[in-house]
Amino acid sequence: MTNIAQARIKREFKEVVKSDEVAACNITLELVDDKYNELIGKIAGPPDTPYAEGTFCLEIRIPETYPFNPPIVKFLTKIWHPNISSVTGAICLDILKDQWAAAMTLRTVLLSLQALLAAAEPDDPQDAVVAQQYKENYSIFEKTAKHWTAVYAGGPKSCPELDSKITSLKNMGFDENQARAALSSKGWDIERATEYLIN
Amino acid sequence: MKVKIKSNWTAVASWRWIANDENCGICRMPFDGCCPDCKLPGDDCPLVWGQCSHCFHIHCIVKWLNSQQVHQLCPMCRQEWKFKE
Amino acid sequence: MQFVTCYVFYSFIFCYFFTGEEKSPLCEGCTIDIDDCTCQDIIDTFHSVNRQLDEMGILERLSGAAVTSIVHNQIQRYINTTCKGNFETSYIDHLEKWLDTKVLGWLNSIYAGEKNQCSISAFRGRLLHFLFETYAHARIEQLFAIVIDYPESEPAILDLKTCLEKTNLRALLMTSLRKELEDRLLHPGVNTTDILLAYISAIRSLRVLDPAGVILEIVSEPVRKYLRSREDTVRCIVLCLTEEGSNELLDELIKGQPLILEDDTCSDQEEGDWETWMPDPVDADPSSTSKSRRGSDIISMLVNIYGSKELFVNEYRTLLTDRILSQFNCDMERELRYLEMLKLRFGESQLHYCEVMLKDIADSKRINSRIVQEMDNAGQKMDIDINALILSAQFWPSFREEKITLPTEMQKSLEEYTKKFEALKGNRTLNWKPHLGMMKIEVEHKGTMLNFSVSPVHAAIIMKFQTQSRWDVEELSGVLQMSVSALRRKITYWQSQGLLKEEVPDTFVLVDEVKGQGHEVVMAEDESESAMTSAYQQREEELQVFWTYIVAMLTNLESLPLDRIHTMLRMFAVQGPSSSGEVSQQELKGFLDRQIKDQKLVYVSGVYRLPK
Repeated sequence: MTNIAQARIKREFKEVVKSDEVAACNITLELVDDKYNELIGKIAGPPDTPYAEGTFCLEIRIPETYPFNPPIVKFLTKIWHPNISSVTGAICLDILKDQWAAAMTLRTVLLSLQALLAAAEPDDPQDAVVAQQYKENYSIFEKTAKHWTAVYAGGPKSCPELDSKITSLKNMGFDENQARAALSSKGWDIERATEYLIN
Repeated sequence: MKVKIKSNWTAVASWRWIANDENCGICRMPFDGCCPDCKLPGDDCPLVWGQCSHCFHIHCIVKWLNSQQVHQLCPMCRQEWKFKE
Repeated sequence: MQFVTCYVFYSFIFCYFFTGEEKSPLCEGCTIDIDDCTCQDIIDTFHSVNRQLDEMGILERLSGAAVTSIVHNQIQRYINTTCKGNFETSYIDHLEKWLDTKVLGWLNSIYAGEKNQCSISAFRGRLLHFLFETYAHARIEQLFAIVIDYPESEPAILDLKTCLEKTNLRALLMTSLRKELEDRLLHPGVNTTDILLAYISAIRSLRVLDPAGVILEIVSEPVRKYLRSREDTVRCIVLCLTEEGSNELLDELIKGQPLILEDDTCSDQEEGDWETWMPDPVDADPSSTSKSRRGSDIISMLVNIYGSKELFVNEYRTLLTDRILSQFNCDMERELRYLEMLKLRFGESQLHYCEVMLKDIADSKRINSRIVQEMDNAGQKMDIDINALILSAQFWPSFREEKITLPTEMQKSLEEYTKKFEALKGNRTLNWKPHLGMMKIEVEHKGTMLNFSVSPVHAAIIMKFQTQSRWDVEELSGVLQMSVSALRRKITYWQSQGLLKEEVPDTFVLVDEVKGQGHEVVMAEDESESAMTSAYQQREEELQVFWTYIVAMLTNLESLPLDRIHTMLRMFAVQGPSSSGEVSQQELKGFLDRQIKDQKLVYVSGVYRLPK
């Protein structure tokens, strides 16, 4: 890693550790090793959203050209969100692409991601299925997102009805995660989900 | 009693850049130090100002501008970057 | 009974046998005048008795124990008288020769019979071993002195090395020297420098004694531990390294090897000649690497007392700062030379800060002459000539910040200089540090002229007494906008110069008459205090200010428990712009304990009071 990238990450790391957000447990940043090119970030799901009380882990990779290019960030925790791939965790956020500026930091990135959880942009989707659900049937979207938060991000248990639907698919011999993904994309309609899984 | 100052006062001062921030927004090192690629502060690693009034180590902003293919924007405010005369 | 008789008899003969070295008029055997002596007859009888005993086959049985004992005693005596106190000569060969000629010669004359020859040569082996052992014991007893005398004492060390190979005294040597070092060096009465010098001697001499470095490592362990606990160790080492004139450490530095720190872990790949390779001795500590023991030089060893280059380099930086700020025109060439040497040793990046510091000095000189020249060209002149030392703050140790408002004329000059600087170096400005620096002032009081070189703060204080000869401390601290504690500290200088006195507590007045007449030049080494005093010292100074309060309290109230003193101090200390008024009860207790040690305070049944 080049001199500037490493030096900057070191300073940023110290800044984040001392910041108010860390004190309030909203964001955290951990080094994966002592090479400063890979970090794990964690953000708390914003209150009054389907992500409330969940903790979401992010993989942050620092390119050689940092800070002239943005860090490469994706969700490690599975999440149901129009701008985040429910399969890969890839994020669609302008500041991580063409809107990146060298004055931004890992702290601002984490805060922006937190803001993204609170205010999705379904018109610029990363996950088209989720975005469509968000626009066409918000209540199902909300229920699904909450369910995912409970299962993957340690959020509060939400809807037993969804759990039982997954159990019935599991009893048919499907993998739990696949069953959940299929049900989520098919508006929790067991028949359509089964059909989707079989094909 | 009268006190008279005779010549040759050895006075000690530290210099600093007149900037609106302490650290360079790009490398996040103190302005009064130098950018990560330099060894000596001051004349050898000067600051430059943009018309938007933001300033950076010259070596840092040049690297940033070179990395921008389309528009050259200030890393702080994202206005078009123009060096202040 | 048999042994004693034999012993006396043979011992007498031995003495006789050994005569002839010194020409004495008396016989060594019977101490009678040689002419009247009958020893020769006795010897003849002796030999014939021996012969007859031998023929009967009982000579060995009868005399063996006594002869051995005599020979041992003689060896001990000989070694003690010959070698004691002289470490600059090797005795091994001499002793061996002595054993062969004298001792064995005597034995041969006793056991002259043919069949005894073989047992004599076996006896020789045992005696030689005894000789080495005795000699080693004698050297080990004096090893501390030998170590200190190194390199003059190298022959003694080499002898000891030979002895160690032939005897089993390694463990004894280590315990004994370790204890000796502890007893002689490791107590408060010995200067850190002396301990360091002894340690250096130990490193050098024990390296010769045991190239694997194990003895050194084990023996000097308490020394290292003790040096770590001394506050001034790093400072002493750095001073030794950078002091003018030749010294051992400097020679080491010039050798310029890179540092080998204990945490370097490439030791599995032993370099060097495999043919001369020796395994580590069995008593080596397996947790430290053989390379660190064998390879590192003295400077590395010293740095390893702490195990950190950073600490060392920081101390050097502090000393450099002190030198620059107390002399102002330090010998740049010399400093640069040292810096280059240290860079070879400690690495470029560690000393980068110091490089910038020295560059600041050179730059300041250039800026000063530019500004003076420009003013000359414009036909201007500053009221007070300023020679500025302009520092790159990020690279210097952090200075104690002391706020003060300087008198207008001084302030004006600084502002003028700042303007010139700003014009010269666009977009940059200066932050002055009035408590640093030095100025010459002339004080004229009732016809007496006095010259002083003082810091601007000192000058500002005495100037305030021009218009008003009596100041309350609080009031003066308000006018100068400096903390009471700092003000008091600075005023002591003028008190010591006999210009000010504390007439009633907290009120300072100008004296009526200055003692000492004429044009006296007094140099004020700004209380000889370091400009960037350590946090510890700074705290100590603050506590000293508290001490005046405590004395006042105890004078009025006679005795007080700790918590009362603490509460009252907090009330006092919060007033005034003093930097950190807070003091914890724990810290206060520590401070009061030190006052008790200095006999300035008494602690009886839970309360403190002043001694009567």
